[in-house]
Amino acid sequence: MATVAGPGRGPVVLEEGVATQILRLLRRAPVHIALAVIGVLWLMPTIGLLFTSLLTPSDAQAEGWWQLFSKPSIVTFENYTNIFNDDGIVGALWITALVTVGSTILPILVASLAGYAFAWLEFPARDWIFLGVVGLLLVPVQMSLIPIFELYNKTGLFDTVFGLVFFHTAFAAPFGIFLLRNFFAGIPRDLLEAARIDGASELRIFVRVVLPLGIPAIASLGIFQVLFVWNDLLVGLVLAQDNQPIAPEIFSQLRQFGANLEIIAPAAFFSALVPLAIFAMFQRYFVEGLLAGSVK
Amino acid sequence: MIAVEMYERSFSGENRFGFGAAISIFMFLLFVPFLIANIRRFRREN
Repeated sequence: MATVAGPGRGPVVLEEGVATQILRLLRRAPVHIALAVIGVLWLMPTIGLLFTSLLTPSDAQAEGWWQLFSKPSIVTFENYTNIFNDDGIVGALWITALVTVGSTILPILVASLAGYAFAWLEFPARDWIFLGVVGLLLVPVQMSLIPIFELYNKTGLFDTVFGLVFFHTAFAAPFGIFLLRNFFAGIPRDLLEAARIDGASELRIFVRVVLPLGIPAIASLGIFQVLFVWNDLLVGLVLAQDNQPIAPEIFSQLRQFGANLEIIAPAAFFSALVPLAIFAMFQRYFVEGLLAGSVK
Repeated sequence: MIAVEMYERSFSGENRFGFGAAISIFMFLLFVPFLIANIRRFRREN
């Protein structure tokens, strides 16, 4: 009897295992299905944009982008070759790249120097000035559009890359100073004192000790800036006219002809690829940076 | 959207900068309570 029960128990246990596995899958199924549905819904506009950019204008007019599922053979990369031969679009991409690089490096420079000063240097009215910076965090960008527009018109900065870089730098400075000051304040005092005893000047301490330790926060500030400036529509629309960045350029295509999708779709998709690639590359810093200064 | 209205009045054809500026000042005034709350919270924390 015992010998029969022995092997008999084996398959039963195995069957229970399969059953529980199936049961567990079934119990998790609603969550998985819900996640898949949300994911598809979320990606739908992007997929639609990509598919529209792969259709010829006449095909895009004839039926929606979903016709690519039934007729994959009508895919064409003609739109992409066209926009990369279009001086307006290529020029706008180039301007956007210049503005983005400038508007990332300059605020990081300003904000890291100011953040160090607010965190570790003693000077009169330091806390009051920093409270001013905290207040500036909430000033809406629309406040400064008209004054800066008139100022740029008089000084010749209107419609220039420098003008856009200065504007973005000024608006990124409060957040950058706030973020980096809080991060730098978390650096142990002992490290800075050790460097000071070794005879390092303030500038040397900043370059050799504070900056390397602050890299996670600086990187996340840089990523925020790249994403924000690359996607910016309003500032480019107001402060540039003939040398517009890519987002206002696409927007003006939309207004002039109504439905020239063969330019808008590929340009918009390509313009969205850049922030996406940067986010994918630096995702680690993105998450780390969000926590920067919150845990001491 | 009040922000879009501000843009439309000032920059797209109408060029009524005074009107747009008034809208943006109004927007800022809406923000002031949050601004004060933010500063107060920050002072309490430090």
